[in-house]
Amino acid sequence: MGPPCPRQTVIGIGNPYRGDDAAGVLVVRQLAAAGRCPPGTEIVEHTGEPTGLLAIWAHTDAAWLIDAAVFDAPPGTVHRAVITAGLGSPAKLLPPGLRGMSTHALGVGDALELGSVLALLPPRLVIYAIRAGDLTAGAAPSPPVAAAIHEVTARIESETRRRA
Amino acid sequence: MMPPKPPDPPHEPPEQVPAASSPAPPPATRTIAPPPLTRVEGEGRLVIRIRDRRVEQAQLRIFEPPRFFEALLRGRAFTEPADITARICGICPIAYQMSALAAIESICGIEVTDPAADLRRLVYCGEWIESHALHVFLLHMPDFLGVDSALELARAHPRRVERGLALKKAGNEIMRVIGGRSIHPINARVGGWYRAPRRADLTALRPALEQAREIAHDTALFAATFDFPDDHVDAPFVALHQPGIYPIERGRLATTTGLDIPPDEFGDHITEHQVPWSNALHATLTDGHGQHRGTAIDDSDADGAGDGTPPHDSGSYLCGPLARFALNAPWLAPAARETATAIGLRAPERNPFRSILVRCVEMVHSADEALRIIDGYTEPDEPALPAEPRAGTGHGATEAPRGLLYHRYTTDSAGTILDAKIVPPTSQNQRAMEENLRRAVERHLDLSHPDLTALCERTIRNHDPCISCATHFLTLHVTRG
Repeated sequence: MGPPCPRQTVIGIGNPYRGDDAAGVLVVRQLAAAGRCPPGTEIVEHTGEPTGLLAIWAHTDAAWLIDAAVFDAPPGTVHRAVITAGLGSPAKLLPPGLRGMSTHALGVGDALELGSVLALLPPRLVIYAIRAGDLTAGAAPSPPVAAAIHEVTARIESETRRRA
Repeated sequence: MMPPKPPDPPHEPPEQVPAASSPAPPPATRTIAPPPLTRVEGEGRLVIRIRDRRVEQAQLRIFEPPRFFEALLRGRAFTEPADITARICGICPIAYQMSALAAIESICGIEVTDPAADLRRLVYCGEWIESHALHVFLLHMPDFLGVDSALELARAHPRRVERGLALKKAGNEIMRVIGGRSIHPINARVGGWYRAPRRADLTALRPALEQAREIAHDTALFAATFDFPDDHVDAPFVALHQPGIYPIERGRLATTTGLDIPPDEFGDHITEHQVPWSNALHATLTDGHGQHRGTAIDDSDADGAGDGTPPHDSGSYLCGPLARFALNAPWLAPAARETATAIGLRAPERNPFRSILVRCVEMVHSADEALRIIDGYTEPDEPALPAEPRAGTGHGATEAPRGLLYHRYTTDSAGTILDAKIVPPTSQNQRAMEENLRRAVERHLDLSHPDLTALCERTIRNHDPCISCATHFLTLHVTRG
């Protein structure tokens, strides 16, 4: 009998009704619809609310998180960061759009920092941030972001299969 | 989720912060204007001007942009306010949904009964738990433990914060199971619910809620050891009141000055008005004959020379946990009464610093109440009563975590919204918060500038303001010449 398969979770964050902010959610929907991840991979659409994220991370060995963000790069740029639990604050590895705190709600950045301080991060967490361009309510993702969605979907499919 | 870019604040007095180690006594004239408030929801700042040991000005300047909800509701269908107004707040969406539905259902002439009504009280318990847990652990507790942020608190007290997050999650889970999701729930509708949860779905919440009750009680015991600065608010307390039950989703309006009215008479006693320094409307309490009822304000000179002006009532009042506790403490759930006794908390509590204790007791109450409702739940035959549109005006008042939330709608015979009025608790509390701020400064004028600044920020944070809620409205007058 071989070693047990690691528990893997892919989390898409975003608002599907707000243009490029749908990126994270659309990635996980593409992964789920075509069965592109290994069997047993948990695929989640999430609002980014921190207590929920921390609860998901507590029960997985490896997680991928995809969210749209605004940072100093052209729309559609993909920023990838790998956070290894116990190796310090994750904030430095993130683009500003994910790192920054909102005055209206707790978000992904808060979850990462709290998770790091409380040792609640998964052993390995891969963050994909897709540079958003158009956040118009009701709009479809812009062309560069739509291309980035396909790229990130393919990369996560490959990474989850390699680790399974 | 993309956070909006904060707007440039319109009120930005220059910041003059002397060095913390300055040995000189406080100057005769000074301005306290720290950077925008931290560890509150939304965007606002304080401006206090002191001249010759007299507080000339104490303002909570809310520059969060106005959001025009009351205007955009006009022309919408009577079925829509619950979903639209839920977007006013990501922390207390259930409160908006329940107040909106109460108002709309009164126009339609329907009253939701159990078990659908029980589900409304249960989901509201979930919101009280998650909102209070957010404030207690991430926003308020750092003030009492000498740290500046929740992250620092997590480093110093990791187990406490971890348990606090578990408590918040228990509340979020109630909202997700009943409301469809924890942020901006989608399952509430006129007449009841789109879908009633299965009994097994609710029973599955029990372990987390039992743990939540225990965590809330333990947190109350811990918070009771804090050093609470002396403070006292004189303003009348205003809350829902329903003898026999701690009010959340229904009740009459009552005040500690003896008023006891149905929600329909809210507008006869509470008036909103705009002030130049805030995008959130202020509110004042009257006795129904136009006379203000509220904190006595003595305008006599600070040096005692006096000008003969008698104290007047400012019309300020306070809603929220302190008000609810003052008016309804006997009807807390048994476990919550035990917690209050264990920490020596007695009604009325008028020190806003001790509001953290009242929120802990309310979290115990909410968890206990949630367990009671879950244990008695039976799945309804139909999740909602039919509701037909009518012409009329309806009023709804419920207790958001931060206090009384009032909605009023007027519809035509087709159910189209003709007019909407929404009065959130933070809006109502602004005047009392500013008076609290003024008195705090007057009593501590000899503190160093940094210490007085910190005290001012704490004074506002005690009240757990939700600034996004407060700025839901602004009247726009356009004059074309």
